[in-house]
Amino acid sequence: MIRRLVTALLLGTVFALLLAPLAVIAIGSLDNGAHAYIAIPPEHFGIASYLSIRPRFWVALRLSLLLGTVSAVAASLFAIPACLGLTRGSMPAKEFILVLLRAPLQIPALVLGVSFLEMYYTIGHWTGWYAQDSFTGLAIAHSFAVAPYVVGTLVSVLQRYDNSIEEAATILGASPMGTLWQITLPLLRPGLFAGALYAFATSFSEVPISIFLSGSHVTPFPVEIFNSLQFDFDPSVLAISTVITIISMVTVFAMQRLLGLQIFLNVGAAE
Amino acid sequence: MRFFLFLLGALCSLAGPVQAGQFDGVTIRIGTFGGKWRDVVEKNVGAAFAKGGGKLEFVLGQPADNLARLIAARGAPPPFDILETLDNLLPALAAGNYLAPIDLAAIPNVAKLDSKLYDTSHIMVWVTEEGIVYNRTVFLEHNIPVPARYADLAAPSLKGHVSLPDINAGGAIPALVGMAHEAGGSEADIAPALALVKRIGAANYWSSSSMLQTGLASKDIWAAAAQAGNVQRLRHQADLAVVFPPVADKVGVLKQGYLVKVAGGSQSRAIEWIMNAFLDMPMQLATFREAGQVPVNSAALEALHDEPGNDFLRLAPQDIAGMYRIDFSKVNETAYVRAWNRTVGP
Repeated sequence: MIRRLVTALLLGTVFALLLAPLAVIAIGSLDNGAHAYIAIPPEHFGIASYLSIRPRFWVALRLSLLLGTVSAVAASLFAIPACLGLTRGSMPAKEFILVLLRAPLQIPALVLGVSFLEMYYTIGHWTGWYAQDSFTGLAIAHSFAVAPYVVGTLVSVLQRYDNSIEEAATILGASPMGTLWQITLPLLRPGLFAGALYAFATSFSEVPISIFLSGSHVTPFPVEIFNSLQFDFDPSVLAISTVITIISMVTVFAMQRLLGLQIFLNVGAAE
Repeated sequence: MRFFLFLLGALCSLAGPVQAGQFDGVTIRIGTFGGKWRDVVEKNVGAAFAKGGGKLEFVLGQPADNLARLIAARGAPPPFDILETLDNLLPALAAGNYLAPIDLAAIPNVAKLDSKLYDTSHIMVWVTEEGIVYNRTVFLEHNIPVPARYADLAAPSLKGHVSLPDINAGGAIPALVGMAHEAGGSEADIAPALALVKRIGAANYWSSSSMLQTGLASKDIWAAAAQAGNVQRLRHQADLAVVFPPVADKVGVLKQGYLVKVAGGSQSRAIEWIMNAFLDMPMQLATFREAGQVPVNSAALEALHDEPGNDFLRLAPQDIAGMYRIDFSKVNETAYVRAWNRTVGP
């Protein structure tokens, strides 16, 4: 009994600590009076901060959702063949290449941002096509930065992968493409999904790289928020953050109810 | 005579009230601050420019970030046509040949500025008056004497309630230079200032205005080395006041905001029209009323001086002249950061 109570207390504390920042933002967003700080508890209840969400926040949010999706998909498309080749092929210096693929995690993001900016200007100088301040430029940089997440999860799945299943499929007459499509990829799905999810989340909240690559045409959501808060406190930031939190929670809940998250997490034969 | 009339007419057509279609299809990009400042510029400059058919686009970021963008773009089309920047970055901008000459004849509003505030490479558009901002109510409640010098922030009664600018914050150089002069140093020798920073033992080092304002408004921070504009920005949230400590033979420190024309940009006429609009009365008044910075247009200063409730600022020309202007030829920012990291950093 005491053990259960202690467990419940510990779990409750952990959850409270995890959810506290979200609660602070959600409660603070309901204050009508504060214009310079987060008022907890609200001094004047109201939804004024929700009504004053600037249209450019919505534009930036839409851009970031698209950017996160494209980056996660691009990183996955790159990581699948790379990881398959690295775990199964007989190329030399595999470990070194794997370290290289994880290198973006070791480089400070600000350095990455400046490097990409310099690179885009250099490319532009030679080709006339400047990728900074464009969705393409941001997507390339984000894909590079988030690829290690997908690589990491896929490699860990592939290292525990049972090759005999593919061999069985081949013996039973499956073509190499058929095996890849019907056996390999479904078995990689949990790792791929987890890696892509990390990649999306990282891209969605990324500031240091985006701050150098955004401009007058494209500004991702976190950069828009960052720029707003550098000058003064804007209560509508709390409001839109709460909206995003609610949308995220509802989406995950709906996916769980309608699809069941286990379809993504069912490791099956790879276990 | 006819020539002068022609010249006057030409100037009016260049920089007077915008005419419909005057800037049809012209897009000007300005590198400036985000948040409320962008809104102020959009409302008072961008909207007027749009009436003439032009479009003002914003590249947002701190001046140092925008300088980094400019450096990365050297030899390529610049990321913006106009840059709003700070006094400490002007030497780097000039040394890197990033500036294009400004046609002052196309900016009639400079006539309302002190001639020291502009030349063909830059035009000052606002200043901030840097000193010590404190919470009047809290000081009264705790019977704490009003600080007169930076050293007063080291008082035991303020322990845990003082905020100083982080070395990367916009207010860092004015605060450090002010403290240096007070403690026997100068722009060339900030060691005494760093010793004072260490002695004050700040509760935190603010890195953005919003961080400072949150602390001041929530009463976690009772006093801070910061600009007077915070009093205006938090007018309805906190009972703040400001004092300007003696600095050399002056009081307080001025931080200056400039517009510069970026080399490699096009549409010179539109650029100068926008620079002129920054100095127009509506924008200059909004600079203070909506953003807390002090305008430079003499007519705007006069109007604000006569307004009740603005007496916390030094708005009379002789009062502004009595504030310390930093000699940036003696400022070595890299050395400042190194010294800060050695002395104050973690």
